[in-house]
Amino acid sequence: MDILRLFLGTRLLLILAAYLCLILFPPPGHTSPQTPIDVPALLAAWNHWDMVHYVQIAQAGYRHVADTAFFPLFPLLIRALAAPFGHRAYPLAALLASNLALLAALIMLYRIAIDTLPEQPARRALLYLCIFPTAFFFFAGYNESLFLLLSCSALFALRRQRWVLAGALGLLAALTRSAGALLIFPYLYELLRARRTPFSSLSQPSDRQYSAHDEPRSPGTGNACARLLGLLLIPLGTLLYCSYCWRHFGDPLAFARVQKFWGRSLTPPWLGILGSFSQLFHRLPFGSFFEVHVLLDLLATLGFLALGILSWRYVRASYALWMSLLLLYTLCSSAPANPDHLVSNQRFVLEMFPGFFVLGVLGARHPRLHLALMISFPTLQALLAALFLLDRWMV
Amino acid sequence: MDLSTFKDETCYPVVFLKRLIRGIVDLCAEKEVTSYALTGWIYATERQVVFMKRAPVSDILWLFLGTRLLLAACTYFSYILFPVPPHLYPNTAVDVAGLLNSWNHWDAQRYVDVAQNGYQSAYDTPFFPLFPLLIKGIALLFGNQGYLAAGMLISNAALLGTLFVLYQLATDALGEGVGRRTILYLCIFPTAFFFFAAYNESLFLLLTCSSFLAMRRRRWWLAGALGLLAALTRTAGVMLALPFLYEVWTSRILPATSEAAPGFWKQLWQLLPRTLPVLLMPLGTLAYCAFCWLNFGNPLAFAAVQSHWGRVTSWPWNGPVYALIELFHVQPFGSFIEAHLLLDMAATFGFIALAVVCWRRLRISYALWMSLLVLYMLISPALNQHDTLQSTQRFVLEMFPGFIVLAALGLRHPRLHSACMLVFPFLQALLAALFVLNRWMV
Repeated sequence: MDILRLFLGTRLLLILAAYLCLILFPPPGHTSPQTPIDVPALLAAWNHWDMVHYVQIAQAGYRHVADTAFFPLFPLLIRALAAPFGHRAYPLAALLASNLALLAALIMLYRIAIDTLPEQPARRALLYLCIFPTAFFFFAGYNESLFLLLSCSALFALRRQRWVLAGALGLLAALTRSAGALLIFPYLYELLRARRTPFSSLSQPSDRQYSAHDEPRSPGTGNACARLLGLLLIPLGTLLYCSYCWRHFGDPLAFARVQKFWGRSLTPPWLGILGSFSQLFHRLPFGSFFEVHVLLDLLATLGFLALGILSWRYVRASYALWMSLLLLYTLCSSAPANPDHLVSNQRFVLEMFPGFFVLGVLGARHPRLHLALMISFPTLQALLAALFLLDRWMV
Repeated sequence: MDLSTFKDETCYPVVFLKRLIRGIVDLCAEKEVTSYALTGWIYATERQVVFMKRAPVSDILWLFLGTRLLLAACTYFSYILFPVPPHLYPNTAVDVAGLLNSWNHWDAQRYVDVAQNGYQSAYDTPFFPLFPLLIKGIALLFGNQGYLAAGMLISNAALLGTLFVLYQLATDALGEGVGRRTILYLCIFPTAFFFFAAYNESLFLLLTCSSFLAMRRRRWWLAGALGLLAALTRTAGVMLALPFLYEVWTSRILPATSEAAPGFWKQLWQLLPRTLPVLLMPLGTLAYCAFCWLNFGNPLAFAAVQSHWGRVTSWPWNGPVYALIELFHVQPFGSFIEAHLLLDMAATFGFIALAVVCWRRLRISYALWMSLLVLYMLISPALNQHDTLQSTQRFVLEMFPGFIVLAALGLRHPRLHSACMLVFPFLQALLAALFVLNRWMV
């Protein structure tokens, strides 16, 4: 119930933000314009940047090779929601899909969080996720919330040792974002961990009755076939998309190759951070456009690096592993050709839910940190959402 | 402050005198002052001394510095990022002087202008003189420059002072938890960025809160002097006289039995010496009237030119009623006026509700002050504008009892608290960005 309230409250706030931004920001000072803003304009205000791509793909399919960077599950979902209502429903369907996925993700995350954390940090973690400066991307038609939902559900399924389910969710996650394929590593980790327990019990002189008194068998536990199947499902998602790219654009890794359009390439993980520092202190003049963006991205990156290290202490190892993999993945695909080497990192960190768990723990332990976050996060989110709504460059 | 000497009962003349002076001067809570207060005789019946609650200095400083830093960050982000047109990625830096001057908009400009060049026309007179005078004083210290910076410095310093005083008032009234929440809400309120800009809201708030604290501590002349300064800061300051009179009336000493109570007139006579400072408050307004008379030939010039902003004196219900009509009948959905109306109406109706709650939860003098401010705000609506409640989202900042009550409500209802914590900073960021970008913002 509290989750629902948090969800609805933040949704209302973002709708209000769209209303105020569209009306109050465009008219220059000392004028009072008479042209009102209507509801379609309010909806269209969210249709910027990547959301445009997702909606177009949902509507017309992959037409250009650069489109392949946008993985197919989210556009498919939009299409499924909007197809019965004609072409005008697509942006609305994108918003709806993103927000529903957020709601489901919040419920899922809460279940995961109370599994490892006490009540208060778990609640805080969800709160921080909803007020995070870039959390408005969960409202816009971006696939972050869907990916968050799928990846955290997959990890939770792993935790419950429901291998096939985890594999299926991993497959869907791999079809949502390229990072989804990385779920294979937490899968392997949990597999090893699960094997260790049965092995130790098997290594003892065993009889058949003993195993009945073993820890409650979750479905599929003893089944090697199921484990293998789940393990194979995850890369299958990526492979499916590769084959699609191969067939249509003649290049199975088209989605990776087109990253150069955004200045991204495979880099050593430290390059982005070092480059950002040198940009910040040497190249960019004070008060320049990119300075602000570098600052935001660098802050998000460094903050979540710290949280990633702490996550090994506070949350389950498979979650910490997942967080570290995501961090490594974003750092290894930084954008040296862009003045902002860590471009979009302020959005990517949204997917790293173990980081929010750690933040929840820290916030519950240090009231001053909590207060600082409670004041600064909504403030920044308001500004960044306003930028997005006014079609300013916002990752 | 060490008040332990109150405990001994010895009546040497020195001790007696000491008590007498301390009794007047010291900052004590109401209950015990009644027994030591100066009414010609000292009734030493109660010995318990209530110390001034120690303010959590570091917490208040953190809150102050944190919100200042955040507003500076807001300025930096909005000034740099918003003016860039869509799909452009400029490499040039913004003009740093422009960034520093981005708070020089709307009334801040007027105050700075008045400070720099004096009152040049009658249209300057609604900007009351104390704040520009202070700006001038600071700016002269730095060689007649930096007027805007001086204004922002005063405004922010006054906010810091307000936080301490208001914490004291709220803690006295409803406990420490409420005290903390009060100053938190004051700092994150959607229009609280006016405490950062060179506006006189924070100075007025500081003076009125301090005057109330002085009244509560029975330091009547101090309260009167602060009231005088408040009356020189904003028109509404003169109304402090009413809560002052009420506080003086409650400060009289009533014996235990009603038969021994002196007659009404006798009580009044006894109260007369401490009623005198009440004259100071109108004195402030009168001094300014005299100034206006000398310079512009009209002692009420500051009221007369209000029509320039579309303000008229009217029945208190006219403003809200016309605002409702405007909102539901005149304005189409999504119009510029509608957005402003919504903000102003939310502030007005919210604080009317808080004023009602004030009468139930707070001292009568606070509730009285709150109601007076609300009434004053309502009887001067901008009926000649579309937004008849114009600027009320800023005026409510001055109503500190409202914030105390809001804090008490937030403490009792955690959901209200979370809602405030979510909505207030979010809206403040947007409104502050509007102000920095020189969009219309009260």
